Amino acid sequence: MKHILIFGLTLILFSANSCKEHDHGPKGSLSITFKAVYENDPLVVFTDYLTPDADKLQFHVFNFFISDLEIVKENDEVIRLKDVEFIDFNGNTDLNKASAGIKIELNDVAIGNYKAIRFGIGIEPGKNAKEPGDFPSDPYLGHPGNYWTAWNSYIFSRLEGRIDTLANAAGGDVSYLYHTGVDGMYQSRSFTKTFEISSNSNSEIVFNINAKDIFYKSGAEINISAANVSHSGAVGTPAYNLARQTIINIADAISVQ
Amino acid sequence: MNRPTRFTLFLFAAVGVIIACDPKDDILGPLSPTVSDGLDSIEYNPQAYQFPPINGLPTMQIPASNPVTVQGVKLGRYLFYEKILSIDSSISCGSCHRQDKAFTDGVPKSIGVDGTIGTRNSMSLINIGYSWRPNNAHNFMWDGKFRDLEDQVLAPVENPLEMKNNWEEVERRLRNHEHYPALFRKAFGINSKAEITKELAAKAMSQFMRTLNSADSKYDSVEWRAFNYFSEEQQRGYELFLGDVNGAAVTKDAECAHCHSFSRNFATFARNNYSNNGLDSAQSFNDFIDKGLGGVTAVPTDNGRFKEVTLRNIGLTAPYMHDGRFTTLDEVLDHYISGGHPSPNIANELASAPTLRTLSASEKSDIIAFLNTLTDTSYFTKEEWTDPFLLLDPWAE
Repeated sequence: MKHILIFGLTLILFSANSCKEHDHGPKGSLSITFKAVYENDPLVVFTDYLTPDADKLQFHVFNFFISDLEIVKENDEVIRLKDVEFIDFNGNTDLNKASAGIKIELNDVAIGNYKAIRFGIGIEPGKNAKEPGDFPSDPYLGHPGNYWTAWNSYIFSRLEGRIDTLANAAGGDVSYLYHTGVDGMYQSRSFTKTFEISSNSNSEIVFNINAKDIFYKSGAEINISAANVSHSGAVGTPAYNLARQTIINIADAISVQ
Repeated sequence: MNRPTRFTLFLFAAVGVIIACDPKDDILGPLSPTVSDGLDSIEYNPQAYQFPPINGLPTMQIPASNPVTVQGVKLGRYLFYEKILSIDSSISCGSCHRQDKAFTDGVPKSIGVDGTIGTRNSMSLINIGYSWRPNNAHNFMWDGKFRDLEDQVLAPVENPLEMKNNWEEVERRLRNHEHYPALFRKAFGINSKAEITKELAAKAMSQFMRTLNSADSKYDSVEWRAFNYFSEEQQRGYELFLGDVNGAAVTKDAECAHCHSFSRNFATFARNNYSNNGLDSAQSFNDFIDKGLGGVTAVPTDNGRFKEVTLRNIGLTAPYMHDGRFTTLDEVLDHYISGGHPSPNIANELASAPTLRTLSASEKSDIIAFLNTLTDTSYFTKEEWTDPFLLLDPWAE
C-alpha cells in the first residue's frame, strides 16, 4: 500500500510537471515595428511632403489603436500577443525617431514556424463597449483623452495636419482633422508573413504605413480641401462615411516588409 | 586686558549679537531641543489610506514607491500649509492653492515671498492625482516639467519667485521642530531626526494632494442621481460642448471635448496632453516667448504648447490660461470663437473647427451655463483639507 502511494504521488508530480512544460513551452522573442512613411521617406511630423498635385502636406497628429494582435502558426494555431496597443507617431519629431518607428517588444512568444500576423485597427467591440474608468491601470484604454463620449466609443484613429493648396501664396492653408470611432469602423487585417520564433534569436517584423496612400491611393482618395473635418457623426451621414473611409485607408496603407 | 582676552570677549559679543539678531528663531515655529534625536520609542504603525469611492472617478493610479497612508496624508497636510517652507515663513503651498478656489489663488500669476510675481497661473489641485500617467514623462505643471508629483512639490521651495528657500534649510527646520520628527516617524518609520529629508517631505505632501478628490457638481447630479436634470440652457451648452451627443449630428460644435475629454466613469474633463490653443501669434516655432512644453523637451514643435487642464470647477478658478490673461469665461469663449492667433502648431481642433466661429452670443452663454455645472463646492469646508494652523490647537491629535 505504501509503495502504491509513493508511486501515485510520483506520478502526480510527474504529470503536473509535464503539463507545466506543455502549457509553458519554450519561448522566444519577437519585435514588431510600425514605421510611418511618406512614399519612401520616414514620416516626420510638421514637415512638408509634396502631394500628387504639388501641394504641401503636413502631418501633425497620427495615431491609432490596434486590437487582438495575433500570429498564426503553420498548423493554424493562433497565438495572441496583445489585446490592445496604441501606435502613436506624434513622437516622430525628427528623422532619427521617424526612422526607428514604434517598436513592440515581446519576450514570451511560443517558438515555432508562423505564416501570418493579424490585428484590427481600432478597438474591438467587446472592449469598445467599456469606458476608460473600466481600465484604470491601462495607459491607453484608461486615458479619457482616447475616448469620445458623444459616440460612446474610443477614438480608433487620429489624423491631423495641414495642407497648403496655394503654394507660395497666403491663405492657402487648410487644417484637417479626421477622428474615427464606433464599432462599424473597426478594421481587421491579416498579413501573410513566414517567420520563425526560436529560443535563441530575436525575430523582427516591420510594418510600413504609407501616409500618402491614406489620402491619394487611386480609387480611395480623400479630398482634404473639400472635406477637411470629420469626427464621425451619425451612421450614414457624409461625416461618418468620410471618417470610415479614413480608417479603411489607414488599414489599407499598412504593409508588412 | 591683554589682546587674547579682548579678542575672546569680542568673539563672545559678536556671537551674542548674531544669535540675538537671527530672525529665524521667530519664524521657525515651536523648536524642541527636548525631543531626543532617537525616535524609536514612537509607534510606527502606518495604515493604508482608504480612498472613498466617488462616482465619475476611477481607481487612482499611484506610484508603488509612495503608497498612501493615513499617517502620510496627515503629515502632508501639515507640510502643505506649513509656512516654514518659505525663506521668511510668510507663505505655504496653501497660499497659492486655496480650498475655496478649487485650490487656486484667484490672481493671474502667483505671488511669492516679498510679493514677487511668478510666471504662471496657479493650477487647481482638485483631482490632481489623476494627472499622473506612469508611461508619460510630462504629467504636471503648465509646461509638463514634472513626471511625478513627488518631484513637482519640491520645486516651489527653491524657486526664487516662490518660496526662495532651499531644502537643506527646510530639512534643518523640520528636524528641529517640536512636532515634525514624530509625524515623520509615524508616517515613514524613521529612527532619528537626521532621517528627515526633502524626499520624505515630498512623499507626504504628494500623499495629501492625492486625497484632494471631489466630483459633486450639478453635472455629477445629472449623471448619477435620479430625477436631476440640466436646465434647457445648460443642456444646450452641453450639446455644443460635446458636438454630437450620442452620435447624432448637430449643426454646431464648439469642439471643447477634444481637449477637455471625459467619460461617465472618468470625468476629469481633461485630456492632460499639451497643445497650442492659439493664445499668441508666431511665424515660426522659435517665435513663442513662453515656450511651454518646448522649453522642457527642447523639441521645437512643442513650443507654445501648454497643458490642457481640467474644466472641473472652472467657474471658481479665474483668471484663465497659463498666464492668467483672461479674467472671465466670456473672454475665454471669445478667444476660441475668434479662432485664436495663427502659428505653425496651433491645435487642429481649433484651426479646423467648422462651426466654432459661428457661435452666437446666446450659444456662448449656453456653453458657460454648462461649464458652471462643473462647479463643486462640497469640499469648501471639508475638515481634512483645511489649514490646520487656523485651528486653536493645530497639533492636537
